[in-house]
Amino acid sequence: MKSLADLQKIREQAQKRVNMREVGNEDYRVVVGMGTCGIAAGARVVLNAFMEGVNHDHLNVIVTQTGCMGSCTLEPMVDIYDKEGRKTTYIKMDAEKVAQVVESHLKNGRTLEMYTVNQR
Amino acid sequence: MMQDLAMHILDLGQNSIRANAKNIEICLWIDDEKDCITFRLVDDGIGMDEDMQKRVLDPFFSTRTTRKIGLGIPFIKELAELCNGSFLLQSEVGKGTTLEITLQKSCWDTPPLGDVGEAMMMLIQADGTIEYVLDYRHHGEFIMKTTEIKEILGDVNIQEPSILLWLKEYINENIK
Ligand SMILES: Nc1ncnc2c1ncn2[C@@H]1O[C@H](COP(=O)(O)OP(=O)(O)OP(=O)(O)O)[C@@H](O)[C@H]1O
Ligand SMILES: [Mg+2]
Repeated sequence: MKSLADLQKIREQAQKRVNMREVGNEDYRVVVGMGTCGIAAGARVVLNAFMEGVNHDHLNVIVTQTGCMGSCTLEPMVDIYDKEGRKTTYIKMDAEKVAQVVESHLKNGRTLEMYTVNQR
Repeated sequence: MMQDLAMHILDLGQNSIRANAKNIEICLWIDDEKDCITFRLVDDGIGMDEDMQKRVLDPFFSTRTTRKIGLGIPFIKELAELCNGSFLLQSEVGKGTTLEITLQKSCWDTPPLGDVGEAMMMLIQADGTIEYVLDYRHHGEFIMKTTEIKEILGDVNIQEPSILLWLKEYINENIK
């Protein structure tokens, strides 16, 4: 069972990784809508999947949350901002789609048009 | 809509975050003998005046023009009533808010706990400057304080993905 004693080890590993990347100069910023409607629609799974993906591949990406994104029927929704502040909005996300977005968008810089709001 | 208690914890915690809380304490006490689950959330956010406290309880208030009033609090109140429990909302402007519900554990409608570690992880992820306390009691007692975690972490941010994911597991393993 994990105890606080184990946290020291995790801390050291995390510190090595932090030192290797430039804080404040992330490749992408992922924003997950976590209002009541988003949570009810499955935003937890989506947020988790992004965190797992970013952590697993040590991506230079920051994952954050926001409240209600205003279109309950399109939830779970995710905005991805690039370095220039350009926004891509993905709608009706789930764990499977997140895995694809991590692979394509976050790792290879290719937007997955079929899941974006434009394709509605 | 809300399948488990962890979902409510996350949702109500988001309210406290938006109310500019600096400290959020979440108690989850399960008493098998008394057949009772107690869930309490205490924050030191901006609070609500009496008028507001009445309005947030009424889901019908929001249906027409006022989309300002949401669903989170009516949901949990309804759940408490459905599960032979109780609901208490105490709030003072400038001081903070306390929400306490009890549920009859064996009641058919009482939802499962769900992923409590994940809910806590997501609250910390939403705002890492807030100090959280999770006070979980069932047979034994497990207390998680972000102040203690941060002391160990030193200059490493609690919002690092690997730290957050570790915290989720740490909480879940200890409350099993
Ligand atoms: N802990 C709190 N401290 C201060 N004000 C609060 C708190 N919780 C709720 N409120 C007030 O009550 C309102 C209603 O809360 P409720 O959770 O029911 O809906 P909401 O958060 O506005 O929307 P949503 O449906 O996304 O939850 C909030 O908008 C806020 O003004
Ligand atoms: Mg709410």
